Amino acid sequence: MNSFPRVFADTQWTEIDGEVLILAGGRLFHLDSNGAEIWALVDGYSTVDQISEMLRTRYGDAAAADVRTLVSTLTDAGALTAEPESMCRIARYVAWTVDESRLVVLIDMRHGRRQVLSASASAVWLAIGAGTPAQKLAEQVSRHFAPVPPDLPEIIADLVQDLRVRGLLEPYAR
Amino acid sequence: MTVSYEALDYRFTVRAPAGVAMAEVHELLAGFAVDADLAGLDEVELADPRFAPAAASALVGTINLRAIGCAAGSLLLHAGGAARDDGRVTILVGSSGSGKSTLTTELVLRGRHYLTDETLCLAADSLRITPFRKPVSLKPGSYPLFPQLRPSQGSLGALDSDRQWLVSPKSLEGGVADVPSLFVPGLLIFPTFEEGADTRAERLSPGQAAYQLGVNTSSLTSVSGRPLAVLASLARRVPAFRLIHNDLAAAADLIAELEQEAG
Repeated sequence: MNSFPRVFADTQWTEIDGEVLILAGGRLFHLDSNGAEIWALVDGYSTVDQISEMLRTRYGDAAAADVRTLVSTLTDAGALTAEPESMCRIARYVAWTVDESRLVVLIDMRHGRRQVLSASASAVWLAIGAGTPAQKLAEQVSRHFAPVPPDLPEIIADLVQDLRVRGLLEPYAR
Repeated sequence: MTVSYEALDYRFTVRAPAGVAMAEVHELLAGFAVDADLAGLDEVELADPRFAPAAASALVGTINLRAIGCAAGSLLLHAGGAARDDGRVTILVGSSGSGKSTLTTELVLRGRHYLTDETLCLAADSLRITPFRKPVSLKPGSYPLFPQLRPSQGSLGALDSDRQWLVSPKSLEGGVADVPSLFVPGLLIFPTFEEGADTRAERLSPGQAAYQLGVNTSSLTSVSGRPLAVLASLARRVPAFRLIHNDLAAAADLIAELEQEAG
C-alpha cells in the first residue's frame, strides 16, 4: 500500500452536500461523508498508508481499514489509478513566469495576488512544472544548493505542502 | 381513418390485423393519442391475437423501446409518475416488483394525473417532465387491489392476463379536466415492498437519492451534458424518501402527507 492513488482522468464524479457520487466503467458509486473525506485525500500525492494513518489519527483503526477497502474497490472499478510516484501540478488558475533573476513570479487568478518565490522554491516550482514526481524533486533541485542540506527532502516536502495548502498546486486529474 | 400517436418524441400509427377493431387499439393507447395529423409516422404492427396471446404486451413493449430510443439525451428514470393539479410530480423510482405501478395506479385513482408507470422522462437541463402515458401494466399480485380495473374478457388489455393486465389511462383518470401544462418534480419516492412491514418513510440524503436515481436510470452515460450533475441537481431540489410498504392505502396516505410537507 505504498502506491499513490489518484483519480483516473476519465472518472466522472460530483460532490453533493458533503457526499460524493462517482461514475466509472459504467458503474455508479456513492460515498457517504466518511467516504467523501477519504476521496478528498486521494490526491495522487499521499500513499494509501499515509491516508490510512491520517484517518486512524482522527477516527481510529476502523477508519484506517475503510481506506484500504475503499481505495481497493475504486481502483478495481477503474475510478482510481495507483501510481508508483506521487504527482501534483501547478493549479490551473495560477499564471506564472520567470524573471531576469530566475525567480518564479506568479499570480493567483482567484484573487489577483502576486508573489515572488525564493531561489530554492523557484527551483522546486520549475521542477514540478516540468512534471517531476515528488520523490525525485530533491534529486532534481539539489544542484541549486551548495552544500546540499541533509534534510533537503523534508524541506521540499514542507514547501510542496505549503504550496498545496495555499492552492497553488493541485493534485493530478482533479 | 388513421389515428396518430406520440410517445415522447416517437410518432407512430398502429396497423392491426383483420378482426381487431381499431377502436379497441385506440382505447388501449389513448394516453398516446394526439389530435393533429402528424407527418412522417412510423408504423407499429399488432400481431394477430389468435396466434400471439401476448400481442398487446408486445405492441406496448415495442412502443416503449422505440420511444426511449427517441429520447436520448434526456434523463430516463425507471419510475412511475403522478402529478398534482399544480403540475408537481410525485416520482416513484424503482425496479420491477418495487410497487411503482401499483402505487402510481392508487395515486391516480385518488385524483392525481397519470404520467407514466414505467419510464419518466426529464429534460437534462430544466428537469421538466414529459409524460409517457403508456397503458398501466398491473401484475397479478395487484389484481385483488384493483378489481374494478380488470380489462373486459377478450379485450387487448386482458390478453396476457397470466402475466399482466394492460389498463388504459382513461380507465384510471375518469375524464380528469384541467391537465397541467407543465410538469416538474415535486417528491422522490423509492418504494420497497416488504411483506409484513410497517409502512414507513425514511428521508434520504441528496447523495443517497442521487445514487438511487442513477442506478434506476436507463443509459446514464447518454444523458446530455454531465449526467452526475443532472442527478445531483434533481436530488438537491426535491425531497427524497425510501418508502417501505406493505399496505397500499397506508402507503398512499403517507405519500399524500409527504407531498403536503414538500409544499
